[in-house]
Amino acid sequence: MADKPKQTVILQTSDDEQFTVEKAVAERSAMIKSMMEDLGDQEGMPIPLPNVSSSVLTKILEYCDHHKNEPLPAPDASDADDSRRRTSEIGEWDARWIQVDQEMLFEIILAANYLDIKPLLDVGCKTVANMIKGKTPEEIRKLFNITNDFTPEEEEQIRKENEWAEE
Amino acid sequence: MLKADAEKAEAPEDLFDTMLPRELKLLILKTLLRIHAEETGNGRSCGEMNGRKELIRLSRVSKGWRHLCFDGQLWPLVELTPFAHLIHRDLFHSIVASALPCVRELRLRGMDSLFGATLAFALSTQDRPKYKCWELVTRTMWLPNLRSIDLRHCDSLTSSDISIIVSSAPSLRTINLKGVQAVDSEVIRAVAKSCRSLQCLDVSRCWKITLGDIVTLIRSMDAHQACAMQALHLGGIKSIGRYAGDFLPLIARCLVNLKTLDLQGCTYIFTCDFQRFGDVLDSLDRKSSITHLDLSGCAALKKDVFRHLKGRFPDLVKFELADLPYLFDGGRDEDGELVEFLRTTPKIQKLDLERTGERGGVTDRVLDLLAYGRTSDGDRVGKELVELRISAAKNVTPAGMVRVIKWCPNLRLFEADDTSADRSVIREIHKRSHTCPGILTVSMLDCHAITQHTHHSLHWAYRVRHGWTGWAATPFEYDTSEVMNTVTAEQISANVNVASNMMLKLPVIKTTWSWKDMKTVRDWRESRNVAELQHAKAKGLAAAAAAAAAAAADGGADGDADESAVAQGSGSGGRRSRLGRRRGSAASGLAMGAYGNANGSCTIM
Repeated sequence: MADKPKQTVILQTSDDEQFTVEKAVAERSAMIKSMMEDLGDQEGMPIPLPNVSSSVLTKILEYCDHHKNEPLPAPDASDADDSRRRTSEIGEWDARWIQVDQEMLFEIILAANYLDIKPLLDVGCKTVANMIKGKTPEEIRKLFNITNDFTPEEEEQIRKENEWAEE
Repeated sequence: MLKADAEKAEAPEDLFDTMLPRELKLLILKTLLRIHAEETGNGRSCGEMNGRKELIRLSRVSKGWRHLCFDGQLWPLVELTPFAHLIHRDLFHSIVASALPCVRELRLRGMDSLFGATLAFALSTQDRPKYKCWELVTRTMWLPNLRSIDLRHCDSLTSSDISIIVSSAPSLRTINLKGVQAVDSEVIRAVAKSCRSLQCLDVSRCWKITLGDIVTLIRSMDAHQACAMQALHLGGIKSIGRYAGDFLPLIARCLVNLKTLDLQGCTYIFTCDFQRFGDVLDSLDRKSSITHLDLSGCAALKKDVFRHLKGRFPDLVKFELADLPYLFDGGRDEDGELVEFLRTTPKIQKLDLERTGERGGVTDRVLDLLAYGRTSDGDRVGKELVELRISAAKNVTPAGMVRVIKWCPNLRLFEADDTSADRSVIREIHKRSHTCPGILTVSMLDCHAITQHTHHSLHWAYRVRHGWTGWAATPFEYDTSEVMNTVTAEQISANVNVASNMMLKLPVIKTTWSWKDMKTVRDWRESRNVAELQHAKAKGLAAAAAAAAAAAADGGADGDADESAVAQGSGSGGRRSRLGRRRGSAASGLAMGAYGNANGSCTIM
């Protein structure tokens, strides 16, 4: 592919680093895809990604590279349709790939949302949802370092209301 | 994660709340709901309901999370039925009030302690609860997105509460008020005044309204609304009132797209009403669009009614005509008109004639028509038949039943309790299971020709019950091989268990004898009696203990007649049934009471 210069695209991150990426890889992002279409044949023009840092982009490009041969999701597939097809399973490779610290995980979700990579956003959300699932409020607070800002009275009141839900 | 943990120790920071925008946090919680929805299990609540429960639990994390968890985007459907009896008033308020703008469906079935004021305050758009006064609340209630409301068993609501809610939700498509005793003419007037795209109305067993009210409702509908109506459930409604006679003709004239008409137990519907119904259709040169007609228990109907029904329901799929033992008077050719009517319904799938043939009328001619009769266009009448109920039909013979079982390939349910069915029918059912895919379930309780000997000599040919899974199935102790629903095609191919495969293909036949032999039933009876005794002793009620002992002895002696382990309603009535319920749960270690029916009556089987 490298011998065909048309097949690559330059991405510029928020920290001004430039990445030369295969088109098939970059196209995973619906946002970059439509930008490439808009820019047309303007060679060598970097696409600015002011919301993505180089460390996150490196990670995401790893994902895109691994999935570059899969069919792209239909751009206007309705959410309801999507959710019926998807299952709660995360692919083995994806699961291992997304074993990162919380900050990176949220960065990935933010970037996936910004770059409009639906399957990646889905993997990210599922990962966080699975972290949350089945935990007690106390465990959630510990997990995300959340301060309990209820007053003891409020807390007691809510605990009473919710008692039945906590098993 | 370990690395993250180490970092957090130095500078604990709430990354979830600070990094992610609300929209993405909601997406994560939506994903959480989806993960729950895809799960099935044997829990008391599973799937989506568990997701909602988890949201409620998460609402305790922090104020921010509470706000997040009750966001309307996560609650387009407010359904809390399995927890209805546990929901605290304030919690209900929190959920409904914050989700309000997005709520499309409100299913409050079983929330019998919900008062109008609580509901109204939660539904009011006024946001400063401190200053809320009743009048303002009722004037500011505005639910333009609400499409569906289910208030069954909300017994603390008054007629004006329901009217206010209905009046403030003009987009309502489905209103389910079945059995809500507060419903009266005022509610119906509110429906008539405000709803513009109503599709389905269920006011069955609302004793305070009459067909006259429904006539008023239909009269007030504009053409658009009348065309939108698809289902009317009016079970048991009386028709005293000046205009009641106009009811059926009005339906024929106005509700041109009506699919379901449920008049179960409307004893004031007469044959002449259907005559007028037919006349109106004829004058408009139309056929009825109704696909589901329920006339069970309409005791005032006579068999002439078929003459007026004939040819007017070409799309009829489901026809219920149960509990009409006096429909047929036993004269000559009494089944002729029923046969002629069914000849004009080639799409019929479900036919319910339970207890209608007690004095004749449901005969082999009817069964033969379903087995191989044809319409005037040459269509086979019974080709799509799925369910057939002819319990207590006096004049059907085993040969007629054999023909129906043999020639209706789609038949899945056949009820012939208290008929002359005999072993030839069981043999035919077994034979059929080799050729027809799909399991046929047959009920032949109280058929005198099926003796204990028949059961024992033929029991290899059938299963005695059709198992199922889920939390509520626990007390039935289904064997894995019995529970065919859980066995998927892959599982069958994965572990080639010939015995259980054979089991899954067997038809289900319920007979009095198979019923009696069932181990679970016997165990239940015994454990209930033991628990009853223990309970009485623990209470130190010597007298009650003696009574219970006597009852237990009775139960042992005539227990066979009392197999269903339903808390008995007779004799010492309420007390006994209450105790029985508690004892039952003690015995089986399960709190059975409230699943899906928070309002009480716990029938264990």
